[in-house]
Amino acid sequence: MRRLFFLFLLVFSIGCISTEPKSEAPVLKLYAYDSFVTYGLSKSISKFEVQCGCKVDVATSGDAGSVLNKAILEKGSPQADIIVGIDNDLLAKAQKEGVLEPYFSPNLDVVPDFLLFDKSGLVTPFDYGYIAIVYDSEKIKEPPASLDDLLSPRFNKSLVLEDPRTSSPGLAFLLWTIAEKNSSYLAYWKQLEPNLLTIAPSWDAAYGMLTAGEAPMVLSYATSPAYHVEYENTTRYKAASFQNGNYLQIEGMGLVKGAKHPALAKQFIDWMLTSEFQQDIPLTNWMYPVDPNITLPASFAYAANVSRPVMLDAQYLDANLPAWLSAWTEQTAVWLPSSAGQTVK
Amino acid sequence: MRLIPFLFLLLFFFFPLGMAIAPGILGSSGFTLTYLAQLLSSSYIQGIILFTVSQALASTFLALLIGFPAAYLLARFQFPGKGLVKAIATVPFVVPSIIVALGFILFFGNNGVLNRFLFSIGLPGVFLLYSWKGILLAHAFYNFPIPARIISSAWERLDPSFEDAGRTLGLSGFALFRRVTLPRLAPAIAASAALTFIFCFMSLGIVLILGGVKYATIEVGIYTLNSILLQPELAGALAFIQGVFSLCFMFFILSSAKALSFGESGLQPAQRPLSLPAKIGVLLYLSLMSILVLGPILSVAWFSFTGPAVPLIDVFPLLAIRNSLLIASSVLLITIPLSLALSRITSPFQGALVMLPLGISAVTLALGYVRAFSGTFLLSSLLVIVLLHSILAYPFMFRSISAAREKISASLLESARCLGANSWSVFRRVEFPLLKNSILIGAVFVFAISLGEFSAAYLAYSSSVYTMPVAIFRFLSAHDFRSAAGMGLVLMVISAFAFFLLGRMEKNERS
Repeated sequence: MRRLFFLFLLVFSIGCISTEPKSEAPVLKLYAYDSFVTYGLSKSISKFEVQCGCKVDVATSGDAGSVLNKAILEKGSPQADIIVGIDNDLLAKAQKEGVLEPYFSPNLDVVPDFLLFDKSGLVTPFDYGYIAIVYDSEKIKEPPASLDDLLSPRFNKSLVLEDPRTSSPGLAFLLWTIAEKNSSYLAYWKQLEPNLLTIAPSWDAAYGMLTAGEAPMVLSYATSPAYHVEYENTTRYKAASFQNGNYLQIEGMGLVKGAKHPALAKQFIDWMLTSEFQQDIPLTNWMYPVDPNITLPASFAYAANVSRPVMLDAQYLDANLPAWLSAWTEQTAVWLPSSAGQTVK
Repeated sequence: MRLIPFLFLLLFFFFPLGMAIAPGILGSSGFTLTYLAQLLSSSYIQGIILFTVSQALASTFLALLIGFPAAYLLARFQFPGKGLVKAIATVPFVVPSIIVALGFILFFGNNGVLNRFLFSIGLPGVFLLYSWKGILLAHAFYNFPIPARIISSAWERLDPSFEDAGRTLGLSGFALFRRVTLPRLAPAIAASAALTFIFCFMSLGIVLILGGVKYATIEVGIYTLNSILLQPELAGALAFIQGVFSLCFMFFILSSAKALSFGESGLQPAQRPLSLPAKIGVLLYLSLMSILVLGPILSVAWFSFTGPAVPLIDVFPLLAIRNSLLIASSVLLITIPLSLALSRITSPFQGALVMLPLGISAVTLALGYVRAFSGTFLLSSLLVIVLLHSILAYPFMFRSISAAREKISASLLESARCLGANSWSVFRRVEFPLLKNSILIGAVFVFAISLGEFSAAYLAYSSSVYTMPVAIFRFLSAHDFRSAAGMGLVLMVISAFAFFLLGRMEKNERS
């Protein structure tokens, strides 16, 4: 029994070391956030592999912030050729850190002006989406229509938000309140407090509370309902579109400075602006393709119909983010011994 | 030869750790206090340090309170299903906190199974989550297996002649326990307290999900600085502060453990069948544990089966299972000899230094690996995951073995040497048989940590690899909570089975 067990261990460990993929073709390396590969985008990437005669290896490491942080750490000897997922909230950081090389793709003409968020050409947009309050229509009959409406007493202890210190949609919501309320955003958060069931550390923790029937409203994406229509055939979960618009998130990818395969990387960036890749975005990344000519799947009719994009200027954001975040933290989240016995709203 | 384990730690722990904290303490002109001062003067950072330490102390106390009776039952009595109970109690340790949290929300939530049951029979509900009560509940659930297993293993090996002597001298009941048994268990209690403390000290996700936004730990601060604000200098400085705190606490606990330690013979007391009051105790304890442990687990299982058909996405469960088992087995192969070699350490300071990986956030270490080894083959090889897991998990093996080694009386080893045994055969024929149980207990935790570990390997490894937690996170990021719960269930079943096998081996050793 024991010998068998150790033999099993040995075989396993040898297997462990020898299962490295070996390939003769050049390998284009992408660093991406988790959900980029989740829904089957790799299938559409294999179409590119046939075209370029190369292999594409997508390494994921958490959310987009973690991915960029890893690339910054590797600045001396970059491992990736392309970084995927740099959005408008991270853009200034990516520009400042000098990890990217400018590249203007000849296919950029399909992208509408409001989505061309990086004039310096370091980051090429490939999809976009909106943050929205997603609610359970069996429990919420009259959904919120604006940030102010969200303060209504009818939503007492109904909303789950994400923590801006640990989650990118959480950060986007904080920025949304700053974009609309300017310097009075902290007062807004104070008023919002009675309606919060809790603030979760991550999108999945928050969304899990909606799915588990614990909370009727959660901060998520405008396209979240489309998923439930597409795969669960239910229109129970809906996203609220706000009168003043919803916070916009544009996602882009950038060519890494000092990449091992710059030509292949450029070819990939060109390719992801073609309809071959763009048409797969709605159902594989649950975002809108930057190419407006792509026909959206029927389930996208259930996504929130956003009236107007809400955005913050990238440089303004970068200069103020640490101060905003610490002011928010001081008000919302400082733990003091005197508050230890109280229930958190 | 003796230097190899230290060189291993130097290269794969202290060097990358140094690379991770260097930007926080080194400026352009050498050592700088700028960033440390900036952090320590912020009331937010003061708050999270204070909270991290106090919640860890409270949670350790609670875990000991719940784990101690469990240790007593497991050590002193034989009852059917004991192996299974042990295996299931260890399961929460493996599961990513998001799945544990999902189970808690489904079971203990404001609209959870428990409350719906209470409402249906006309009772008021219990609202435990999103407050400090949620944190205590979660930490008790997560950590009581540590004291339960470590203390029960020491208890099983207590020399019965001391208790007999106590009885002869007229002690009985609680007085016998307090004056004879308890002091002899002190090293094991201290060892498990050290591990529990450090585990709660490093707690990240579970506290935030179940406790709420006010309950941020130092880990949260490091995460924010690394991934949201992208300020590696401040992140490094905060990781430095975290490391200093961990080191001090472990040193304190280990020195008190050393002061309390005794030598023991290898004799073992017989395990008794259950008496009636003990039977009631076992039943009470088991029913409490089934609510606390099985409630959330079964909720996850039920949830994963009630959902609609799984959409076709890029997650390959079998590949994930294979990779996870491969990695965890290789990690065992490294940690056992490493911990055996290190367990000769007796100085509390060196002991604390060797335990330090537990007190360093996995994210810090992984980013250190990226800095230290970027450009080498290491980061694109699965070996980096095995190494990181080994570093993160071996302190459990080390603590388990060294606690047992302290109990081997020196005279036993001297007698063996007097009888002409060389040091290898003393080890093989005297020490190793006495240490085998502790190795198996350490193996349970090492296996559990490797199966459940997610962020470190994920951040450092620069290629795509699938492990079970990665698969869970991919499902989650795809809105697919039911498949995530299903994968969580698979992870729990596989690890419960592994723990059950390890438990069987432990039993065979004894008979």
